[in-house]
Amino acid sequence: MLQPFRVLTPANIEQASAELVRLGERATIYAGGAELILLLRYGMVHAEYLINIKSISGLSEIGWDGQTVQIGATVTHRRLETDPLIRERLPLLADAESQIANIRVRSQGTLGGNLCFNDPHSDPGTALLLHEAEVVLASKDGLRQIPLSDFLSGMYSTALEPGELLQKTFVAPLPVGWGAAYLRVHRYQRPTLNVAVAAKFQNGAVEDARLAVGCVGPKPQRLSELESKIRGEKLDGARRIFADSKPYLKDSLEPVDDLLGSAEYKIYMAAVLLSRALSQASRSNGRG
Amino acid sequence: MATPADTRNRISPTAEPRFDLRDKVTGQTRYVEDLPEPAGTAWASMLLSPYSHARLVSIDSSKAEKLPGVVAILDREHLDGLSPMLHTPRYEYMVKTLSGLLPDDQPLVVLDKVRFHGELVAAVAADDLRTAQKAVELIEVNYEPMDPVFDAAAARSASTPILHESKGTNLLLEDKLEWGNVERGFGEAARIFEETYTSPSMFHHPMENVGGCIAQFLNDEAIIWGTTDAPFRDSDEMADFFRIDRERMRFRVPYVGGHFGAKNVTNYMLAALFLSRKSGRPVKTLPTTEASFRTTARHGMIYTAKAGVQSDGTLTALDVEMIIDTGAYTTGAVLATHNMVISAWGCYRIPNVRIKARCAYTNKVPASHTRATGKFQTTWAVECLIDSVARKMGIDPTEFRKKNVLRRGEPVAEGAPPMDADYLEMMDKAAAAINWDGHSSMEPQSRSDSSSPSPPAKGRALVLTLRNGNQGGGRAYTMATVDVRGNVKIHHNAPDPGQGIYNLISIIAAKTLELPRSQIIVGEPDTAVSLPFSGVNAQRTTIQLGNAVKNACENLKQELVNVACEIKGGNPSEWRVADGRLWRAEQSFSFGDIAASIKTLGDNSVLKAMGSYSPPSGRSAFGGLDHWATSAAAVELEVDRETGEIKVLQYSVVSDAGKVLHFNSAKGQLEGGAVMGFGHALFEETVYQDGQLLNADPFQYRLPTMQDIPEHFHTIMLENEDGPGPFGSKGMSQTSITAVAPAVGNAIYDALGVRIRSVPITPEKILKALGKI
Amino acid sequence: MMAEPLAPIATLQSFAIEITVNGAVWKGNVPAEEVLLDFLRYRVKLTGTKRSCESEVCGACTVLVDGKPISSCSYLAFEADGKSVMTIEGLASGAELDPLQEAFIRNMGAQCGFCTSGQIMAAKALLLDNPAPTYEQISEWLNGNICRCGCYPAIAQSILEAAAEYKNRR
Repeated sequence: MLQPFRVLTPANIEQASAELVRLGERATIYAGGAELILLLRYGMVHAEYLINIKSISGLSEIGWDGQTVQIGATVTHRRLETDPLIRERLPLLADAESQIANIRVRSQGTLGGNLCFNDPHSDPGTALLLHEAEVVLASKDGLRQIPLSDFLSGMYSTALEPGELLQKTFVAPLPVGWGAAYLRVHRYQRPTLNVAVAAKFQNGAVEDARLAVGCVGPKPQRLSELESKIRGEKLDGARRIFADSKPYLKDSLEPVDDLLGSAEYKIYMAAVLLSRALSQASRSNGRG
Repeated sequence: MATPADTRNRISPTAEPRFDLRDKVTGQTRYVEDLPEPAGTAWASMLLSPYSHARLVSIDSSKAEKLPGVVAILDREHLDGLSPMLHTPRYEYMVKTLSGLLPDDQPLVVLDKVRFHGELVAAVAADDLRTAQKAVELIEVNYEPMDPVFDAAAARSASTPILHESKGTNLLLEDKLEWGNVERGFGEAARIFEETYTSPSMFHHPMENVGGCIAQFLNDEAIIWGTTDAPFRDSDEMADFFRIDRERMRFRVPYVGGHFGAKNVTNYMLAALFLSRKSGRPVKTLPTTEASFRTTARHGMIYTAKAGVQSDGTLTALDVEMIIDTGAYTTGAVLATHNMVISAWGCYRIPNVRIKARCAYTNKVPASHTRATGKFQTTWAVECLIDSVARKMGIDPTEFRKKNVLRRGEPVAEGAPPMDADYLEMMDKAAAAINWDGHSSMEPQSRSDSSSPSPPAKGRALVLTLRNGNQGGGRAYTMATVDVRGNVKIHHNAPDPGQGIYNLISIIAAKTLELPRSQIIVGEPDTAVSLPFSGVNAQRTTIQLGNAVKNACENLKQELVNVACEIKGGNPSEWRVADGRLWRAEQSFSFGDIAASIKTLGDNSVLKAMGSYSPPSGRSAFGGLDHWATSAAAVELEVDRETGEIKVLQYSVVSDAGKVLHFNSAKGQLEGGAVMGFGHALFEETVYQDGQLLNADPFQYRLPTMQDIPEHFHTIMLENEDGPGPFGSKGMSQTSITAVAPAVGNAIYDALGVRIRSVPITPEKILKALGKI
Repeated sequence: MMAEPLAPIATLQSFAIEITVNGAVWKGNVPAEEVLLDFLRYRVKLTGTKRSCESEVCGACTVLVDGKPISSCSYLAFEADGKSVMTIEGLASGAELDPLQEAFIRNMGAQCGFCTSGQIMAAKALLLDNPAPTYEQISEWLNGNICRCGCYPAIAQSILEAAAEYKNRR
C-alpha cells in the first residue's frame, strides 16, 4: 500500500516551480507515475506531496519547427512509438521507445519521467544522446537549455536544480543522408546494454559517425574517440576497431559485474552491437 | 498450436471445454483474495529477516503493540506457550530406507538465529493493512550477522559455518540406490567418462502469491481459507502444530492461482492462525511477490557421474554422486533427494548402477516440492551426459539412445514395474514433428571463430524422460451422492490449481455413471468432509483421485441397486444400471426416482457411496510406483555465434498418456510444463551473493514470456490405454518440463560444439564456452 | 462485505471523482494514494482484476483506461476521473461473451486462470489498436503478461481466432 500523500495540480510551470521550492524534499514531480508509484511503494522515495504536471499546457505536445522536434515532458512512450511525426523525423527514437518495458508501461510512462529518473538501464537516453538532444529546464525564474549529455549527470541523478522541472526535449533529426540503428541486449525488464549508432557512408566507408552506448555505466555515453577512429573505415575495418577497443570501452563505460551480466560480457557485447548497428545503419538507405 | 498430427491423436471421450473456463474468462472465479471475509477481519503483515544468517540478539515489539489498531503480535517473545517448532511433514517419512528421525528443525518464527533471507521474524494483526504494516516497521530487532553458506558442496568442510549448531554439521541426510557391481561394470567398459552437471535453486512463481489466507481460530476450532495442493494433508499438519484434534482444523480451498508444489503449509498461514486465536478475530494475510519468493524453492543440485561404455555403445556402468542443496531447513529434503536418487540413471538399461546423494543445508530459502521434484535436475544431467558420451564415442546420440533405452516389458529396477512405454515410437514421432529424422551430424555445424559475421548456427537434439508415474500417497477417498433430482455430487479434497481437476472428476463421473455432464456437480475441497487424499501433485491425481472417483461412482450404482431392491423389489442380479438409469425387466427408473423412493427424508433424500484407491504398496525404493511417465522431446534452435543468443525455432514433445481424458487439459499440461521448462533451461535461478538473496523480485527473476516460445510448438499424446488410471490413463503432467533443458543443451552442442553444464543456459555461458570472453 | 484494507483516517487528501466502469458511472471520493486496482476490487467490488507482482511487470492487473492497457496496481485511481475504465467483467454483453472470451474457452487459453483477466484485457487493447495482428505482433504486445501455467500457445491461437471473428462480424 502506498503511504498517504497530497496531490498538487499547478496550472503552470511557475506555480509548479514555486511549490518545488517551497516544499523541497517533501515534494516530487509526478507525471505518468510509471516509475514513481513503484518507488513510493518500495519506500525508495518518500513524498508528502506529488506535484501533478500533466495539466500544464505545452508539456504534452509534440512539435516541429522546421529544424528540431520538440517533445513535451509528459509525452508518453507509447505516443513517441506511434506518432507519425516522430516516426518520420526521428525513426531511431521511435524504435528505441517501442522497446521500453511493456505496452502498459509505455502507455503510462513519460519521456520526461524517464529522463529525470535516469535509471542507468534505460532505452531512450542512448538514442537521444545520439541526436545530441537538448533539454529545457524551467523554473519560476525562467528557462535554461542544456545538452542532454550534461543533464544526465550520473546514476539516478540529473542536473536539475532545486525548483526546476524538465519542460521539453529538443531533438534534431540526424543530418540528411545519415543511417542509424538501435540495438540492445534485453534479457530482463530493463536492458542490459544498448547502442545507438548513426553514420554517413561514402563509397562504403564511414565518412562520419556518432556512437552511443548505454546501460553499462552510470549513464549513456558518446564514444567520441571511437567515432574518430572509424572515420574512413569500411565495415570490416570498423568491426576490427570495435573488437580491439575493449580497454577504451572499459574506461569510458565503467562496467560492473551484476545480475545482468559480467563486465567482460557487457564490453564484449558493446563491441559486437556497435559493429552490427553500424552495419545496419549502412543499410538503412540514408534514412536516419 | 494444434497441427493435423496432434488432432489425429485426439480420441478423448470428451472435447468439451473445461467447465471452469467460463468463470475464468469473465473474472468470476474466486481465489483467496476474492473471498468475502467475516465481519471484523483483521489484516496481518509480516516481518521478514533481511539477513541470510544472523543471531537474533533481541526483539522488542512493544511499540508495535501499543500502536492503536493493533490487535495481536507474534514473535519469539509472544508465543503464548505455543511450541514453536514445525514438525517435518509426515509424508516426508515415506522413504523407508531412511534411518533415524528427521529433525524438526524449523520454527514458526526465528528463535535464536536466522537461517535464510526472508525467514519469518514476527507478524502483526491490526484493524487495517496500513496499520499492520506500520506496526511491523516499529518492531525493533537487533541482528548479529554471521557468515552465510550458499554452497552445499562445502558442507563437509570444517571451516563452513554451521546452520544448526546442535547437529554439528550441515550434512542433513544421505540416500542411495545400487544394483549390480559398478567396479565390475567399469572393468567391462572400453571407455569411461566422467562429467559434472549442475542446476541452481529456483522458484515456482505461481501468479497467485504463496501463503495468502483468511484464518479464523475460535474455541479451539479453526477454519482457514487458503491455498494448497493437499488440504487433507495440510489441515492435519496445522492441527498437529496447534495441538488440536484433526477434525477441529477445517481447510477450505477456493480456486488456486497456480501451484507447482509451492503451496503447502506456510509460516504465514500458521502465523495468521496464531494471531486469530490470540485476538479472537479472523485474520487475513496476502503476501507480496517478494514474500512469496521467500517461502519455498526448487533444490539445487550438483551431479557428478562416471559412465562406462563398451566399444559398440552399450552402457555397462553408471556411478553417480549428487550433492543436493535443500536450503535452511529439512522441509522437502527427503523427497527431493529420494526422487533424484531414483531417477539419476534416466531411462536406460544399465546393468551396474550406484547412486549416492548427500543433502546439505545452506542459508537459502528452504526447498521443497517443485514440479517434477528432483527429476528436472537429474533429467538435465543424465540426458546431457548420454548425449556427451555418445558423441565422444563417435556414435549418433539418437542411435545411442535407441541402443540403450529400455524397451516395453524390460525390467527397470527392483521393486519397480517393467517399462510400459515405447520409447522408439516416441522418438520417431518427436523428431518427425520438427521435420527431422533424428540424426545429427557428428561434426557440429561450425566451430568457426572467424571474425566476420556469420549466420546463426543451427542445432537439433532429441531427449528422453522418465519419471515414476504416480508417487506414493496412501489411500485416496471420494464420495458420490445422488439427490431426488438425479444430480450427482462428487465430494473430494482435491483443489484445482489449474490442471483441470474438477473437470477431470466430472468427466470420470459422467462416463462411469453414463450421465450427461450437466448432471454432475463437483464439490470444492473442504476437510470438514473427511476424505483423505495426499494431494494434486506427483502426477497422481488422474490415477489415484480418478480411480477413487470411478470407484465411488461404481459403488453408487451398487447403492442404487440395493435401494431399488429394498423399495421396488427383486434381487440385485435382476437389476442393471445402464445409460444413466436402473433397469429391471421392462421397467426403468432414473437415479432421482430411486433416491426419492426413500421417503424418510422427503425431498432431501440423498444416496451416498464412498470410493477409494491406493497405489500398490512396495518396500523398495520405488514405493507405490505402478507405472512410468515417459516422454520424448525434440528441439531445433539457432544460436547467434557472436552474441550467444538462442532462438528456439521448433519444439515437440511426445508423451505416453495411456488415455487422454480431456484433450485440452492434457495438452495444456504438456505445453505448460514445456514453457516452465524453457524458463528453467534459459533464464531461471535464485541468486545468492554477498550474503543476500539478490533477485527475488519480479524485475530480476526472469520468467518465460510469450516471446520466448516458438510458434512451432507441437504436443503429441500417445494412447495405448495401458495405464492404471481410469480408462487406461497414466500420469503425464510432469513429462514435458524435464525435457527442455537437456534438449536445449544438446542442441547447442550440435550447433556450436560446446557443452554447457549448468542451467540456466545463458548467452554469457555460451560465449565463455566459445572462448569469446 | 470485504474488510477495508485502506485506512481513510490516515489519508491526507481525497478526490471527488466520477469514473465510468464498464459503462456504469461511479461517483464518490477516493484517497489520493489509492491505486486503481484497489479501487476496482474494494470499492466497486469487481474482483476479476488480480493482484500479483504490483510492479507493472506481470500484467495480472491489466485494465483498459480509455482503451489503453494500464497496470492498475500502479495507476492512481483519481487519475481515472472523467475516464472510461473497462475490466474483464465489462467485456461480455450480458450472457453473450466477447469473441476473445469464447476463443479462450475453446482453446483453453487459461489453466489456473489467475493471469487470464490480464491476458484478455491486453488482447482486447491489441485488437482495438491492430485488428489483424500476426503471431509475432501478438507475442510482442503480450510480452508483459506472464502466464506461469504456460498457456502461451493457446492464448496466441485464441487471439488469432478472435481477430478473425471480429472481422467476420464487421
